[in-house]
Amino acid sequence: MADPLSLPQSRRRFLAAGSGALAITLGGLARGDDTVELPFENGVRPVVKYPQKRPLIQLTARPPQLETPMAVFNEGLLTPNDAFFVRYHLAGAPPSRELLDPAAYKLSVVGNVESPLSFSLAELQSRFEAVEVTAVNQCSGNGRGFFKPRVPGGQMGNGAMGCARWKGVRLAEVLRAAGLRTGSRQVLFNGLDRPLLPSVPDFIKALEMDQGLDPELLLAWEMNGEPLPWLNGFPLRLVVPGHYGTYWIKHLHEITVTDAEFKGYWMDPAYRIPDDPCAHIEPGTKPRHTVPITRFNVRSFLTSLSDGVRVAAGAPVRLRGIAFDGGSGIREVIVSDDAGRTWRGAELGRDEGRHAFREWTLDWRPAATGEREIWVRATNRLGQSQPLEPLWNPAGYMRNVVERVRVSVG
Amino acid sequence: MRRKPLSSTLSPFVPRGTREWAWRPVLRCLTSTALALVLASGALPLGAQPTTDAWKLPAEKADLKPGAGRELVVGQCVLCHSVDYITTQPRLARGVWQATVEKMRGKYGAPVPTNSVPALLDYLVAAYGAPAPAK
Repeated sequence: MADPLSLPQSRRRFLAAGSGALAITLGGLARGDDTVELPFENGVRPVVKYPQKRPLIQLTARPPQLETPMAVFNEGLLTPNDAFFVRYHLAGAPPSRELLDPAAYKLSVVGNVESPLSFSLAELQSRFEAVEVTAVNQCSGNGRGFFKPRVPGGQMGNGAMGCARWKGVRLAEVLRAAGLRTGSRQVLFNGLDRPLLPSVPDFIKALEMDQGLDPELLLAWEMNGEPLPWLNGFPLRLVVPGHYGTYWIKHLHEITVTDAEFKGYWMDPAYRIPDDPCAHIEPGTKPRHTVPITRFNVRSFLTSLSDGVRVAAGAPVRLRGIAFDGGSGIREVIVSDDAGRTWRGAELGRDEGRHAFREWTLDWRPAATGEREIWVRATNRLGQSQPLEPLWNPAGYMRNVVERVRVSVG
Repeated sequence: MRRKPLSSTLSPFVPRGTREWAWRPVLRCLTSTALALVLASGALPLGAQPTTDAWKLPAEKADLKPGAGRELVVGQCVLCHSVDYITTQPRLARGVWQATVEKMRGKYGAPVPTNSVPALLDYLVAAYGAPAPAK
């Protein structure tokens, strides 16, 4: 593979991709310097180069949070590793080179098990069958910056998502090798990213036992045919297809089986949603009951045209985009260019699996000149779709409104 | 299924002669006021030179608006996060900033003394807050 030290794209080349492509390339409004402006108040962000990454939209520096420019999602169904979003929580993140030393790295399986186990990466790879899954990972707060009224938290556009081919071993096989004792209730996952202060709760996530035994969950060391990038969890991360990224623990080093419900901060009160079918409440109010966030809702995006772009009247334009959901798969994508009065069905691309991005295309011939909005709406195989007006919750999670891209025809 | 040998899987990640991970200098600074002073001056020590070091994070470049109480943020918040965690927020009402500061103190154990909270809030609201609603 290519040496990560010599990844080819410099920021300058990236920004100088040609004036026509500039706005599309950056997925926000290019500003002529090394920044972009996401389309909400206080949305100016630097575009910064990180190790093993092309220049990405930087939300925060320490711990790092980077989002993928929307145009990357137009390049293909797999999001390249060097463009994949990055999200950390703790001051001691990402873990240092010393902590991730492959010679010293161990994954331990402890707790309510018959025989606690410890594996080097090589031992894990040789003892269990390697399998692959193409799956979307998405931050719970993807699109939080668009919430109205605004809510505190990471103010991301829609670039905190990506689809990759993950390779690893089944979590269920590893748990069975350790032997679950009776009364096992949850599985806890901890990574090597750590808090700086002892008072800060470590980032530990819990899954119910039946989820832990789901053969879809992987302990993955490879992403799109390469080792995991440092900032995406090297050397091993949990892959939970269909579930928000909060469960995809990076730099995974400890799996603990418990016989009781885990009450850690990152399960409660953090990463919880209103206990309501659509995870929403009246804007500005507080939820009465909350539950842990789990699966993605349905989302779809137009990726071939960036917001504010100009197209010629009368000339055909091939619209292209992506759709995904929490694992049932996409059944239909429809597109409107007249504020939802009429809709046309898009053609779905090759099915890369029910957890992957699904491509859609539609030939569009804008007739009249003027400002138009392209609306995109997907429906999954369960019949679930996307609301025309955004739903609100106080943490800014699970945005899935029908997205609108403004296009100037003329 | 074919499995890559460990060496080929991992070797690109351990380039020879790389420098120390960029976090260590921060930890060393925390025992003194050096970090606060450096941040206040706007010149960060992290990753100051362009580098191709595979384990080195780029410099923190975000800065806080001037104003009374700014030094409290520099002294008490940047221990755990860069200032862009503040500067990228929407204009939040005082009550929301207060809830955020209390979360940092209560849930994350941020060592912000109680008597510093009002001045900290005054700064956050003046620099990054929403205008108070009309009475």
